[in-house]
Amino acid sequence: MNGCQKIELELAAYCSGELDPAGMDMVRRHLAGCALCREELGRELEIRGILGTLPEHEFPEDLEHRIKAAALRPVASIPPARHRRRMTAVLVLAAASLAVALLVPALDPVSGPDQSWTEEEIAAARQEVMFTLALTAKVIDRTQKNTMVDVFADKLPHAIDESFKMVKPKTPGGNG
Amino acid sequence: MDHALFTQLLESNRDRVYNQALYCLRDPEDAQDVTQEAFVKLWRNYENIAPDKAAGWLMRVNHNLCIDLIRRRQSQRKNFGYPDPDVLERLPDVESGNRIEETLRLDQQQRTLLNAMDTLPPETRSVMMMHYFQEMKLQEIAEVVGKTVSALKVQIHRARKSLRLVLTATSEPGLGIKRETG
Repeated sequence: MNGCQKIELELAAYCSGELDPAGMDMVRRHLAGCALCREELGRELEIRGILGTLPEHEFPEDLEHRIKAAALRPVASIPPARHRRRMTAVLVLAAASLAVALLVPALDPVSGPDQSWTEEEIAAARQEVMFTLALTAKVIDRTQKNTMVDVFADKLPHAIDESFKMVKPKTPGGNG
Repeated sequence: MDHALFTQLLESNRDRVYNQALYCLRDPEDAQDVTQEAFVKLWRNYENIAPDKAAGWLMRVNHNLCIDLIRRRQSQRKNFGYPDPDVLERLPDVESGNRIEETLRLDQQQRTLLNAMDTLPPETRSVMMMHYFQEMKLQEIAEVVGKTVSALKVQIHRARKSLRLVLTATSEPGLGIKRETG
């Protein structure tokens, strides 16, 4: 490897200040006497300048709740996102109606669920409601029929958060 | 890991993870899916991850998910950002024609370079975004991708050479991104 090749390899580390003092000095001295490597340095700085000024995009507003809702699902039952998006509007509306019907008794700590249910059944039902509702809102939102999203906009994030706090993830060999 | 810690990790890393995925994949919906998957993996693997290592772990998972997705869709690349709906929002709120022109020129340069980067291997593109956009040190990236710093230096050097060739072939002199066109 000749002197220029060695310097070119170091340019990224040189520009980000990751070389030790001796390395920085070596590159600096070479650059002072080598026009080709200065050109290469110019390209490195150009890339650095352009990518370093890319705008940071805002984290989507509903993504945090979608992440939490997805985290609540058992591992094997998370459908791929693409499949979820292909649900028809009819199924979406049916799921939304079902979710609404179940939501109030399942989440209301005062009225409580049916006493004949076991705790495990209640927990599973609550998870199912949360997920169905989140899924419904997401799909409706993607199809730009925003009415249902508007209805759930206040309730859904809170419901998911509350449900999320009560559930620990189950991992193989873990104790929750 | 409990709910509070997970929420804290989510809030402190979400912008970084999402933007990395967005610029690697150049598709907002794919970026959201990958971000979601990365955080769900974090939640499900909490027993194996020390909280102080979670940020690096997330970047590694995100990096791998992005690479996998890019490989799967190699034949159907999308052109996120063309036209970029956000560019108008970034225009300076002044009556200075020069500043508006500068902003538009920078946007064009960014788009040109990102398009050229689409020709790089997915892993190289991700490494470059981590170094130049996320401003991660080479040592940090080496830990994320499981390579040596020397290997990363070679990878970035080769990428710079490739970009020069691509941009030359598309009539951009040198890197040529900052060429005055007016």
